[in-house]
Amino acid sequence: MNTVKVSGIKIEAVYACVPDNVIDNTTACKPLFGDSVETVIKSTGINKRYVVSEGISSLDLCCGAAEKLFSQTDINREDIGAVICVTFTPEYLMPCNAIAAQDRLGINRDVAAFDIAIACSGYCYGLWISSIMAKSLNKKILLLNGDVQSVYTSPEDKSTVPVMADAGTATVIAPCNNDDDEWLFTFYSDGSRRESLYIPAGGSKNRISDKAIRYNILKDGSKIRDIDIHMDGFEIFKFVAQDVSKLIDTFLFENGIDKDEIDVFVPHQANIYMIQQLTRKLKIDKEKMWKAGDEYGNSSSSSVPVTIASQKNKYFNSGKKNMLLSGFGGGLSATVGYITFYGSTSCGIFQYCKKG
Amino acid sequence: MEERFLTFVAKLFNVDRANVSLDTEYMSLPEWDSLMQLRLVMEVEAEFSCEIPIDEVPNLNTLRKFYEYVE
Repeated sequence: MNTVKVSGIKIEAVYACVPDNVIDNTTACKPLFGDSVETVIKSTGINKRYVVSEGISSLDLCCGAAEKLFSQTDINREDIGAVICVTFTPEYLMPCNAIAAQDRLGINRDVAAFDIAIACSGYCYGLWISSIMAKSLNKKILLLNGDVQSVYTSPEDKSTVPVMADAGTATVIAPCNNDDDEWLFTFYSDGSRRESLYIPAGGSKNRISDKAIRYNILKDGSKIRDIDIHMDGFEIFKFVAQDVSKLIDTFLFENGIDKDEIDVFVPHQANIYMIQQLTRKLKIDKEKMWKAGDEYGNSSSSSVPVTIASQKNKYFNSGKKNMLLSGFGGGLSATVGYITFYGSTSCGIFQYCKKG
Repeated sequence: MEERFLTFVAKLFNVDRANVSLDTEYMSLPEWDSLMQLRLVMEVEAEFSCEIPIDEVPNLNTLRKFYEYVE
């Protein structure tokens, strides 16, 4: 296992913006699941989801989160040295979200700006790249992370409808003189299983065509187009249950991290029941596992910062905590991060308002 | 215990008890999908006060293998 280490950085703020539409999952899933709807909701643990209205993009949500961050903290836009956006659902295929965000947020033009195109495992990638860049530039990095998965979700797909949600987030990573706080990351990639979670059409291989927008009927009665997210739920479950649990355990063992040293565990909010089982398997105290997916759904990689943004103020406002992060999903890809998180870090979550 | 387990699972899958045995490859039942898999673990753990490790679940391809955690 490769572990990368970065020190001399800290997170100054994490803000999240969830869309304008809140969906009650029981009501929304009733037409798909009929009388089984309650048990389906019980199996996912996701009670509510937030999804965008037509025309609202991942860029809108991420910029909304960044604007709130700037308005709630003393972080200056002039101090930003780079803008990175982790997303697989950009506003346009070209150019990328991050450059548009530079302009929309009034950030200087002498900045680096680019997207990282990855799904559920993405937040740790964003933190890792941001931490390296913060040290290299000796400036603060604005890390945006958000997706609008509902745009790519068939309304009649039983695998994805109960869980998929949208969100945008903004995190500021700053260089600092404290080398005691070392962040550790590891990454896991298995492209042989990419079709377990993917969108078959709309990329350069299979262009959008009449065939791509035609609904196909699956064995379970779901109706899905090639332009929609295709998820083999059992393959993803196997990946989490076997590969990801082993990855996290090995990461902790090889880096000499005692489970008692972990103050907070924030896994990707794929499915609440599944991450509770994962936490139990890892023998991490269940009280240390933060969850927000029950209220905000599975918003792909942004589910980790959404959870931090929504939960942190409930748990601590001073001192510092050792935080274990893990993202996993499309790729197949998984990440693990072990970072220091300060109680003084400004955090918040709010709902998108078009005029606000 | 075995009868109670099989009756419980048959009810969960909404199939006739006569169609379910410990050797049933439950993943071929019409009601099975990934959410049902999670529900099966959740409900069996709750009903029979047992713990099934998450990394073992994908390997439990027959009800007999599930039942080993119930006994």
